[in-house]
Amino acid sequence: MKKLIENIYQWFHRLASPRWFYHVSGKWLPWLCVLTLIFVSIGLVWGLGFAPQDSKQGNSFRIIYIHVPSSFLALVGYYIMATAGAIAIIWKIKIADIVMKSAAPIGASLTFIALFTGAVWGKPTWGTYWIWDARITSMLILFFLYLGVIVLQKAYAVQGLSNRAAPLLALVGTVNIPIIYKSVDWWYTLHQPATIKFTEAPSMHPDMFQPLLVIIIGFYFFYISALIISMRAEILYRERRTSWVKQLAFNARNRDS
Amino acid sequence: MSNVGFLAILRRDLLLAIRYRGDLANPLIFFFVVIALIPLGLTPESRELSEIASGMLWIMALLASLLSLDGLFKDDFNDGTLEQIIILPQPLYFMILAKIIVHWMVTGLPLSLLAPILGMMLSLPESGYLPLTFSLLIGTATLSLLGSIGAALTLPLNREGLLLPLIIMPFYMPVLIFGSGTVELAIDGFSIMSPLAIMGSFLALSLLISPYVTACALRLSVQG
Amino acid sequence: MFQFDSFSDFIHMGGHGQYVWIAYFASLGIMAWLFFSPLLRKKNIIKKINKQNHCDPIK
Repeated sequence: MKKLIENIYQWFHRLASPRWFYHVSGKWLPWLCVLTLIFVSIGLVWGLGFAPQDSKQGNSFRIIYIHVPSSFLALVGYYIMATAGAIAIIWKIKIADIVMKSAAPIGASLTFIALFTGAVWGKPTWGTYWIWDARITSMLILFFLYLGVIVLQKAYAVQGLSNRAAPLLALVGTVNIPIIYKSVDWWYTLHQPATIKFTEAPSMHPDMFQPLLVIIIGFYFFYISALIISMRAEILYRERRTSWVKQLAFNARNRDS
Repeated sequence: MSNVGFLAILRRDLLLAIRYRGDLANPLIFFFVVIALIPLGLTPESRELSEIASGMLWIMALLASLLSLDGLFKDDFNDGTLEQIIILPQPLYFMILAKIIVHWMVTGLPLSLLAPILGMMLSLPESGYLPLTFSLLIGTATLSLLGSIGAALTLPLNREGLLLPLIIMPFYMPVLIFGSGTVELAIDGFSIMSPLAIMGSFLALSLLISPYVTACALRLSVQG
Repeated sequence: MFQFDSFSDFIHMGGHGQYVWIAYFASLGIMAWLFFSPLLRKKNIIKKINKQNHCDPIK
C-alpha cells in the first residue's frame, strides 16, 4: 500500500516536468480523442434522434444535450483552472501554470456555448432570445470571471511579466462563485415572486436522461483532450530553446520530408 | 505594536487626501454629474424615475468607487513608498487596511451621507432614504475592500484602461444585488433586516480576506 | 425507436429545426476550433523552430 502511494507520488512528480508530460500525454492523446468521439457522437445521435420529445417543449428541448454538458464543464473548468493556478503560484510548478493558461479559453468557450445554446433554446420555448433568469445571469457572470482572468493573463504576458496575478484572481473567483449563484437566486426571487425557472430542464424521463449522461461523459473527455492538445503546443513554445524540443522538431521535419 | 504602523499610515494617507483636496471631490462630482444624465437620457417623469432610482443610485456609487480605485496604490508604487511599507516589520494586513479605510472615508462615506439628497433628485420615495444610506455605508466599505484586490493585481501594468473595472465587476455584483435590493424592499414596505445582515456578512468576509489577498498581490507586484 | 418518420422530418424537428441545428452546429464548430487551433499552433511552432535551426542540425 505504501509502495502504491509512493508510486503515485513519483508519477505526479514526474508529470510536473514539461518534457515528461509531453511524452506521456502524446501516448494517451489518441485514446482520449477516440473516447471523446465515441461518447459525444453516441450521446448526440441518441439525444437528437432517439430520445422521446418533450410534451411541452417539443423538439427544441434537444438542445439540452449541448446546453447542460457545456454549462457543467464550464463551471468545473473554472475550478480546474483556479486549482492549477494555485498550485502554480504556491509550489511554483511550471506545468500547473501551463494548465491554467490552457484551461482558461476552453472554459470561456464552453461558457459561451452554454449561453448561446441557452439563448437559442429560449426563442422557441419562451419567445425571446434573452431572459434575465437566475441560471442565465449566473452563467453570464461566470463568463465575465473567465474573461477577467484571460485579459489579466494577456496584460501581464504583453509586458513580459510572469503570470502571478491571474492565479490570484482566479482563486478569489472560486470563493465568489457560490456567493454569486446565491445572490442571483435571491435577486431573481425578489423581482419574480412566482419563481418560474426558465432554463430548468423539463421533467426528465429516464429515456431523456440516459443520453444526457453519455454526452456529459463525452464532454469530460473532450475537455481533457482539448486541454492536453493546448498544453502540448504551449509546452513546445515555452521549451523551444531546449535541445529535446529542437530534436523533436528535427525529427518531425525528417519524418515529413 | 501593530497599532503604531496602522495609525501612522492612517494619518499619512488622511493628510495626503486633505492636501490634495481636488482628488477628494472628484468621485462626488462624478456622482452628481451622472445623476443628471439619468433624467436627461431617460425621462424627467417623477413616477418613472422613482421606480429606477434605487438601482441607479447604487450603480452610480459602484462606478464612482471603481473609478477612484486607481489612485489607491499607484502613487506609492511609483515613488517607491509601497516597497518600504511592504518590508516594514508590522503586518502588511493592517497597513493595507489603513489605506483602504482612508479610501473609504474619502469616497464611500461622503457618498453615503449625501445619498438622500441625490435620492431626492431622482424622486426616490422617502421610505428609501435611510435604507439607501445604510446600505451604501456598508456596501461602499465592502466595495473599497474588494476593489483594493483589483488595484493591487493591476498595479504593474502600464496601460490598464478599463482592465481594473473589468476584473473587479463580478465581485461587485453580489454587493450591488443586495444593496439595491435593500432599498427596494424598504420602498415596498418590507423589513430590511435580512438583506442588511447579508451585506454585513459580505463586509465581514471581505474585511477578513481582502487585505490579506491584497497583501499577497502587492508582494507579487513589487517583486518585479 | 427513431423518433422521426423521415429524414426531412428529422431536419424539420417539428418546426424547431432552425433553432436546434443552429445551436448544434455553432457549438460543435466552437468545440472543433478548440480542438484544432492548438494543433495548428503546434505545427507552426515546429515549423518556426526548424526554420531557425535549419543551418544547425542537432548532432
